[in-house]
Amino acid sequence: MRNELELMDLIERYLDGGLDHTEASVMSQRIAVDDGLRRQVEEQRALRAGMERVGSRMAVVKAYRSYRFWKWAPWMGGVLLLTVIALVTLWPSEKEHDYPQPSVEVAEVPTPVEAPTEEPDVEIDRTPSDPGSTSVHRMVTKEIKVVEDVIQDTVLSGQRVEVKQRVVSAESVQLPMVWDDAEVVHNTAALEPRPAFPGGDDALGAFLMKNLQYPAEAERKAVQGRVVVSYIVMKDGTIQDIRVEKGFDAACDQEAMRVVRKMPNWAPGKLNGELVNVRVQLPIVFTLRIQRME
Amino acid sequence: MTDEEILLMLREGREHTALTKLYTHLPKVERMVRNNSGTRADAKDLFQDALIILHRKARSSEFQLTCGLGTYLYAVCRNNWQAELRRRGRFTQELEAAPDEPTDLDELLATEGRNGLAERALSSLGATCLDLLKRFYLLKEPLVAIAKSLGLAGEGAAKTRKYKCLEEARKRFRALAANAGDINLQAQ
Repeated sequence: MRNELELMDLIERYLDGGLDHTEASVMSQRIAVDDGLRRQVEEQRALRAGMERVGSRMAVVKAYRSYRFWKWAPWMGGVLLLTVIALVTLWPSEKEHDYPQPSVEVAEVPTPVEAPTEEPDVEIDRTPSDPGSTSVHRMVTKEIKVVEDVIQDTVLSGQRVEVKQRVVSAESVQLPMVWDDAEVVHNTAALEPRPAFPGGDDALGAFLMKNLQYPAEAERKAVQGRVVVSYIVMKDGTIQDIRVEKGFDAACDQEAMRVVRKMPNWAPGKLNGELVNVRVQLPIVFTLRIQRME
Repeated sequence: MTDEEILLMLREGREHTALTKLYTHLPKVERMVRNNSGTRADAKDLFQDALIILHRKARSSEFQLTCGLGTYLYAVCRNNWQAELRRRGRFTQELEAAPDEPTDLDELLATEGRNGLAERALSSLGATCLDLLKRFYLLKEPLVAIAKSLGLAGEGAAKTRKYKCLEEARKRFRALAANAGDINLQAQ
């Protein structure tokens, strides 16, 4: 073992550049003819590099922690701030909420005659907030002027290999879907052209396939089903007011929403030659397919 | 912070700030990996490996940056992910390369892949061995000091221990390399 230790030392110094000129050239010559030695030198070089990597990795992992921290810290700060704001704003409103009841009782006790006048009083308290909010609602709905449309005839499927023995996650968009509201059918027929994903239904299918990820949780629980997402394709092609019309699993619904949100602008639809806002229904089917790996 | 500043920091041993900053390029890699049958964890491992390579590379004097650091990291990840997909025997299309990405990465990645195996071999050693080797190679503590803090008899004992640890690592490294199908090592 003595000799081997000595040899390792020699290689170490050789790699360090710690040998003098003659020693180094002797070493180089030995390496040139001795395969075993060359191999040992190479291995030792790799191990030294490996050691440097151990050091690098420690720094990299440490940096990852602080990256994560600084990535989330502003959020945490935001959440804290929101909590504080919520507390501050909820505090008095809770008190206000408490007031009316006792005040009614107090009023009732001294003069029962005045009781009827109190009811209008309470109503006046409410009125400023109620009509205001409904009028805003009305304005919004008027502005959007929605025509509904259903995407049809797109059937897609595909798969992505995941766990050792299974092929998981075929997401498909499948139709014709059931939507027998008379008004919708009427409006769909009248649209010319109907709103379209840039590149057409094939491109839409490809886009969904590319971006949809089977939610891990759903995959594990083998949850399958269909989400119907609807959204409005505005006159300028933007996608707005995304809703889950029919969902089946929170994670899958979320995933469908996420991908729809990522969609590029559509070509808007027209009715009688005029641009209109159209509500589009997009069914997305999540299915798991069991397959053998080849 | 410009790329030059980050490189300088890596070179001068102020790597923590530099590496933290470099992680801003992670999301792009994550997107690439997740769009090509990988997970977020895959992307993180891949990216950290790229950071290690850059970190080591930056400290060598001959390193010349021909593109942005983000592009460089992405290129390393893309190449390694392509190799990984091939290794998993998955049918894949070529992953899209950035236009100004360096093309001479093959040799570097092969060497670093091998060094990565050595790293794994070393990390699998016992805590004492790893501690000793870290002190010797990374902290550059003299053997006498190492012997003292590890409770060994003296410099000679520390040296012997270091020899044994390295030998063990070498054995494990060889096994790993043989598994990975490294032909150079299997010969002989």
